[in-house]
Amino acid sequence: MIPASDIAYFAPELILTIWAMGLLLAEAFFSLEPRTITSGALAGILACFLVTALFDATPTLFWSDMCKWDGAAKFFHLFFLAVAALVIWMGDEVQEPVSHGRGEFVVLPLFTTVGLMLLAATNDFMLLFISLELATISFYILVAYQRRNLTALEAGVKYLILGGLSSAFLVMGIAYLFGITGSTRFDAIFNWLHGHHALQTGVSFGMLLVLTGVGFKIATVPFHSWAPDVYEGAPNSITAFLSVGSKAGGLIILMRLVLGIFDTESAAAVWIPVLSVGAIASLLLGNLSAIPQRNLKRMLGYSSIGHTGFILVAVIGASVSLAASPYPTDAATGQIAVTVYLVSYLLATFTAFIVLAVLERRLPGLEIHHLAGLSQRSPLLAAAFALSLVSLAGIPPLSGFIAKALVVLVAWNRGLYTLLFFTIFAAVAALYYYLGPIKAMYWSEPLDETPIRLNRATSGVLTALIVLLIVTGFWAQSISALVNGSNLSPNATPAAPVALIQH
Amino acid sequence: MEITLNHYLAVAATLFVIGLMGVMMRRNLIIIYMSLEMMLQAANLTLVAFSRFNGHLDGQVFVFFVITVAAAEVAVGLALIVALFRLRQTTQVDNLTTLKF
Repeated sequence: MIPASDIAYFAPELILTIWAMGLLLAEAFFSLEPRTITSGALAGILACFLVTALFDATPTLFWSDMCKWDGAAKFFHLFFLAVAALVIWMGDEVQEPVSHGRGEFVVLPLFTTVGLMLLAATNDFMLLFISLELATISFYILVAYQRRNLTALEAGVKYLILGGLSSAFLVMGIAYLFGITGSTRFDAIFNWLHGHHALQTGVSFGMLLVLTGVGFKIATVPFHSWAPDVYEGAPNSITAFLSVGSKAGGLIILMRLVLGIFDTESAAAVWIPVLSVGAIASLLLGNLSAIPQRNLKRMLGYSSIGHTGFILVAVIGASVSLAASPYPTDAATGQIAVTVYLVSYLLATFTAFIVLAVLERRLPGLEIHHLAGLSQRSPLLAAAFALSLVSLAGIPPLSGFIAKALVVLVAWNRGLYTLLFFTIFAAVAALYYYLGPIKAMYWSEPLDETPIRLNRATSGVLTALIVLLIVTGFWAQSISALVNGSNLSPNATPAAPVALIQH
Repeated sequence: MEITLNHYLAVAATLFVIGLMGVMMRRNLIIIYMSLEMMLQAANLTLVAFSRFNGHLDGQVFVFFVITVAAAEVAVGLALIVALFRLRQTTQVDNLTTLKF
C-alpha cells in the first residue's frame, strides 16, 4: 500500500500526465481548435507549476525509496515546466504551424516533460532508464514531426540511431553496476562504494558505460556528432527544447550520478579525469567548430556543445572528493553554478530561437548574411537576438556573464587550473562567432526594407525574456535563493547559504 | 565443464561488441537498427545472469522494463525509417546527405 504522502509527492507528474491524456481524448472526440489545445496545455502546466512551488525542499525519499525529493528535484521540476510552457507556446504561436496533427504536437511535449521531471527526482536506475526513455522516445517523434520534410526526417533518424546507441550503453552500464553492487538504488550503491575502498574493475566499467550513455544526452565530445544535424533539422521550438530541456535532463542525471553515487575517493579518481577530458574537448571543439558555421541553427548547435563544456567544469568543481582543493567546503558553489548557468542558458537560448522561428517565416534562409540590416526592419527582433548572443558569449552585465563568472570562480576555488585555462580560452574564442550575426544585423545594409511586424504576444514574451536576461545579470541572488539547499550528496550536511558574486 | 557467471558475461559482451560493430560498419538503416536491438539484448542477458547468480531479483524485473521500452522504441523507430523510405526509396545511410556531417 502506498502511503498518502507518496501520492502527494507525485502530484506534479500525475497532474501533467492526466491532463495530457485528457487533452488527447478531448481532441479526438470534440475536434478542438489547435488554439484551444495550446491554451489548455499551458493552463495544465501553470497548475502543475503552482502545485510544485508549494512543496518545500526538505529531502525525502518516497515510493519505496525509488524517488527522492530535494532542492535539486524541486528546482528542476520548475525549470522543466517553464521550458515546456515556452516550447508549447512557440510551437503553435511563433513558428510555421506543423502541417498535420497540430494537437499532438502540442500534447507530446507534455509527456516529454513528465519524463524529464521524473528524471529530476529519480533515486533508482530502473526509474532513471524508464523516465529517460519516456523523454527520449517522445523527442524522436517531435524531431521528425514534419515527416514530409527530408531534412527533419533525416535529423530524426540520426537522433534515433544515436539515442538508441546511448540507451544500449546505459543499460549495459547499469547491468554491471547492479551485478557488482547488488542493487539498483542510488543510496545503496553509494553505501556499497563507501564500504569498499578499492574500486572493482566491474564498477568502473559500469560507471564509464553509464557516463557514455549520459554523455550522448548532454552532447559532450566525443558523443556530440548528432547535435548540429538534429538542431538544424528539427522545428525551431523542438530545437530549443532539445537544447535546453534535454541537456538539463542529462545534467541532473549526471549530477545525481557523479555527485550522489560516485563521489567516493576511489570512484572520483576515475570519473574526474574522464569528465575533465570530455569538458576540455567540448569547450574546444564546440566553440572552435562554431566559428566557420554560416547557418545560425547549426552555429547554435555547436555553441551548445561548448556550453556543455562550461557546465561540466562546474559539475567537476562540485565534487567533494577533489584532492588538491584549496577550499574543500566550497563544493556547493559548483552546484549553484550549474543551476545559475542553466537558467541563464534557458533565457538566452529561448530568446534566440523565438527570434529564429519568427525569421524563418520571413527570410529566405537562416544564414548569417540573411540577417543583414535586421535592426532597420525590426528593432525588437534585432535587439533580442543581439542580447541573447551577448549573454551566451558571457559579456557583462547580462545573466550569461554571472554564469560564466561563477564557473570560473568554481574552477579557481577548487584548484582546477587546467580546466580554468581552457574555460577562459573557450570563452574568448566564443566572442568571435557570437559577434558575427550582431555585426550583420546592425552594420549591414538590408536587402529588403519591408519592416517585420510582430504580434502582441511575441513581442511581449521577447520583451519579458530580455528583461529577465538583464535582471538575472544584476541580481543573481534571486536564482541562488531558488536553489539554496539543493545538495545532491546523500551524506552531506545541508549546504550553507552561498553568497554569489555581488554587484 | 561447469557454466559460471563469467561465461554468461563473456557471451553477453561478445553480443554487445558484435552489435556495436554492426551499428558502426553497416550502411543499411534496418540492419543498424537490428544491431542496436542486439546490444540491448546483450545488456538484458548480463542483467539476467547477474540476477541469477547473485540471487537479487531486481535485475530480472528490470529486464521486463527494458524489453517493454525497447518495443516502444522499435515502434517509433521503424515508423521513422518507413517514412524515410517513402521519401527517398532507400534505407542506405550513405544517401542521408541533406545535412552535412
